[in-house]
Amino acid sequence: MSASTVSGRAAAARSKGSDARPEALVVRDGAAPVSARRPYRAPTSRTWFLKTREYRAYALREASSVVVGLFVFDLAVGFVCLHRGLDAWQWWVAMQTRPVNLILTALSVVMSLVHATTWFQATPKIIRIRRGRRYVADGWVVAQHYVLLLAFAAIVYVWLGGL
Amino acid sequence: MRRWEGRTNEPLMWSLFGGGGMLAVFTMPVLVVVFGLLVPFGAFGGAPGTYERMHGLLTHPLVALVVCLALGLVLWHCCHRTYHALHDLGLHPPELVRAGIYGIAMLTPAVAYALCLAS
Repeated sequence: MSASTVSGRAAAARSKGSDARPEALVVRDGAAPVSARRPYRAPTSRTWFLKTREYRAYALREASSVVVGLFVFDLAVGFVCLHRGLDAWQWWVAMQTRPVNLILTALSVVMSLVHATTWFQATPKIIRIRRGRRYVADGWVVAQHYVLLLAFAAIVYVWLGGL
Repeated sequence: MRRWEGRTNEPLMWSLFGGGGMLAVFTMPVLVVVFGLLVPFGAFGGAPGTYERMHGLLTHPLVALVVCLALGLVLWHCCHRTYHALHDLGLHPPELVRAGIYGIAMLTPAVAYALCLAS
């Protein structure tokens, strides 16, 4: 079938009689299969996420993933250095006090807290625990998450010899 | 019978993203403060003290695998959101960019683990 002259939809409609292959498999001029998905993209301004308070909060939360991702990459480098010996580990720890790394760390502290606290605020919408005739109050669900965060902090602190 | 062509990989992508996000909220604030600030500025005995503390346990191959998988899961979460944020910015990048971003999330823990085993 030659789909180069007619649109994909017409080609699919024509092919329904003979063999009803989905449009996703229609090959144009022997090239890669063309996806049937052609999503509508509403025209929006480039800076729509700065318009309202809610949009800005959303944008900040999404931006946090980039910063946290960079820090995870940094941690992965450190983890390899830990395996390579004391010299490599000392090099990595010393690297963390460079200005570039300190900027990343400062941003990561803020952004990881933004990510965690906004998620904790959202959890009561998802986690509904019934006790008898009523549900556990939202505040308790949020508090449980903070307790888990503090528990992990305590484990790391004690394990590294803070106590 | 359902066929592959009509199906989407989104449930798999989303569950990895959700798992990484759950892990990130409980661990990342702690890890950033500990390894970004406390250890470099001399808490827990600085670099030699923490090395002595962590080297024995974390360098066990199985523990290292778990740590690399956990870091990879959080990185997957971050890369997934970074890719989707591109659409929010009005960019609709080609498949190559998508492959590159998710590729970082898959290759980083794999390469890290390989380097851990090699050293």
